[in-house]
Amino acid sequence: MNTPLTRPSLIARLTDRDDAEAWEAFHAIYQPLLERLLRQWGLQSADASEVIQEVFSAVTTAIEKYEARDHQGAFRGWLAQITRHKMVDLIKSNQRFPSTSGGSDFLRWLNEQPASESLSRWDIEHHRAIFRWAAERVRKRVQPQTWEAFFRTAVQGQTMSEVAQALSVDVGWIYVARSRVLTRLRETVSETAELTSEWRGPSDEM
Amino acid sequence: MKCNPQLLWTLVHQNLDPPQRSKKLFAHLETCGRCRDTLVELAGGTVWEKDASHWLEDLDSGLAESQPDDLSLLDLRFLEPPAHPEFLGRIGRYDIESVLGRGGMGIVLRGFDTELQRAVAIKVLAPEWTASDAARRRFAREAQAAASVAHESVVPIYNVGADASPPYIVMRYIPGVTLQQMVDRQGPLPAPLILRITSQLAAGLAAAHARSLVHRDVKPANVLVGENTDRVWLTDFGLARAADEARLTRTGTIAGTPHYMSPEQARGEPLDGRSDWFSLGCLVYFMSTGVPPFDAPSTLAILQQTISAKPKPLAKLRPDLPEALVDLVNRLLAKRPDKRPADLVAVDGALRLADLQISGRQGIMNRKVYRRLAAGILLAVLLVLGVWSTRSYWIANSAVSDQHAIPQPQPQLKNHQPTNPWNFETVDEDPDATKLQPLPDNQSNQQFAQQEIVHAIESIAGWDNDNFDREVQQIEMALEAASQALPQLFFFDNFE
Repeated sequence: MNTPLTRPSLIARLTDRDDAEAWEAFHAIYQPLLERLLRQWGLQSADASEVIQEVFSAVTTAIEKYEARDHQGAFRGWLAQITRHKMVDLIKSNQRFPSTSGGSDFLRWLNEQPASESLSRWDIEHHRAIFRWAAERVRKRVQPQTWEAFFRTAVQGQTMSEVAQALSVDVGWIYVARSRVLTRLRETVSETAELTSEWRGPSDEM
Repeated sequence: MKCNPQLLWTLVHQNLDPPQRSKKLFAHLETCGRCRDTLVELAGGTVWEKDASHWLEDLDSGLAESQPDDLSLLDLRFLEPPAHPEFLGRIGRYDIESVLGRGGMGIVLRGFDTELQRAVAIKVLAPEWTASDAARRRFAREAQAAASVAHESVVPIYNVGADASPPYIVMRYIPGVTLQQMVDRQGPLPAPLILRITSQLAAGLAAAHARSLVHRDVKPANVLVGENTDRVWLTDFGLARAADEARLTRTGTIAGTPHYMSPEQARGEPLDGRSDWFSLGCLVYFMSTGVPPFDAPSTLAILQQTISAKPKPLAKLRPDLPEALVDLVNRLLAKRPDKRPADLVAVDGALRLADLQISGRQGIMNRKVYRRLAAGILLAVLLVLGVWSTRSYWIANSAVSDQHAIPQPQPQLKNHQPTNPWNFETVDEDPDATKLQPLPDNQSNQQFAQQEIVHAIESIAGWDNDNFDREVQQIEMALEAASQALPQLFFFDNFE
């Protein structure tokens, strides 16, 4: 697995409250991620929203004190911790929790170590959230046909000739389209993790 | 066809999706395993491909309903069929390699001049240029005039295809970014870079003004910054007029950004070179702050501000800028053309002064840093030595007769007056004399060391603030003396 798990550059930028772009990206990635996880743990939608709101406001106030640690995944461990605290708060303040299934699932999750190297459920969802976010951004930057050519062949596993026929394009064109999408996906995902800067060709804008 | 990795790189990295017409190229890709591997490698290799497809597995294909940028919907049908399948198409004698971008006037292509064997940038004009014969003639006239400006800070125009459909301009290909992109990415620029860019742009504008040509559209997006940021080029000279007239004919509105327009331009009055000076002022303001001086949500409001409002004071937004530069911007932004700098000489003079002010400030900065550093080190050394010195002095004094009349450190320090600072000039006359003396015995060694330390301490008290070089010399000498004295003290002490 050589994909980045955490986003130091973005996280560093979050300390600037006026960096709208960074905060927007943060919300775009972590809102759906937390929503998904909390619902999986059995929280109802309203409770999940409440926890998410609490987590975000805690991040906003605490981000200045957060110091990026060297190892990958530090930020998501930190965020998992905040989420855990906020869920504890919710459960403490809410009598109905101990009896619901959400409570027991949640307790199980509480006992997991978020910093462990294994891809826990949290990590898996974190990964997925970053890729979804990146996909959304890349999709806006290419023609619908280019995206479709990539998605159908690379993700949905349809054959080249099948897709070429469906989109009435050449198979060779699909190879280029795939490469274009994958390149931009990689750029966008690594933008979140400040991978070692790669060689860049001459600027393609003017 | 043969494999061409560079072309593949371009196809993958260019902003626009490749057109589907290059049948030969795609047929080649379909059968050539090597080129397909290259495409996979360009995108990050098979591992990345697997990663991406894994993590996107449960993504609904209908996730995004948002519209793609209109850039990607660009129609390249006007291109003639390519001479080689490696290219996107052909215009005249130019093979089109890729699409560089799109501006208000049309799209910019990267091409290759087959006759002169060089890379070129080709600006192909948007359809409104061809709306009427009059528009076409106007374009031809303006483009020819622009081509006549030969200056190192103006993008050279190689060729004008005024009669082609659509018309196009062939320019030198300059790899790099626009000033707009540069500031968007980096934020406000450092003062020395602002001076460098301003001076080049002013020279380029003046060269055009000398030919009675007004740029009319000086803005960051029309300034190309070379890859090492040392050089900048102005582009789209004079074309704004033809473009505006063409647009006005068509839509009756002003298109493009009004942020850099002069007041007279906003009022639709006749223009001369001084209008460009105003726009240059806006541009310098933008480089310094990251935002144009006049900004509002609507075009009309911007024009209104340009005509009547004062921008936020640059000196407050960028207190680090040299005064002469701030002053120059204020003069460039004068509402009345006759209040702006008269010519390049005036602009250049201000820039030179600003440059001097920057180097002057750096000098002060360096002096301060140096002085603090030196004083800090010296104090630390002397604190240590001072303890030794005082202690050993009294030990030595008790054992030494009065014939060794050495100065007493404490009274001397107390009696020290600013009017009578320790005078190193005696040392200056023969600075090495003390070092060259044959080694005295331990006692006088120690006394000598003490003297040196007392000198050093006093030299701090006697600093003449107006004579920095002397101070530095004194510090250095005192440090050297102190370092020579140190072993003596230790030796004597231990020996006893």
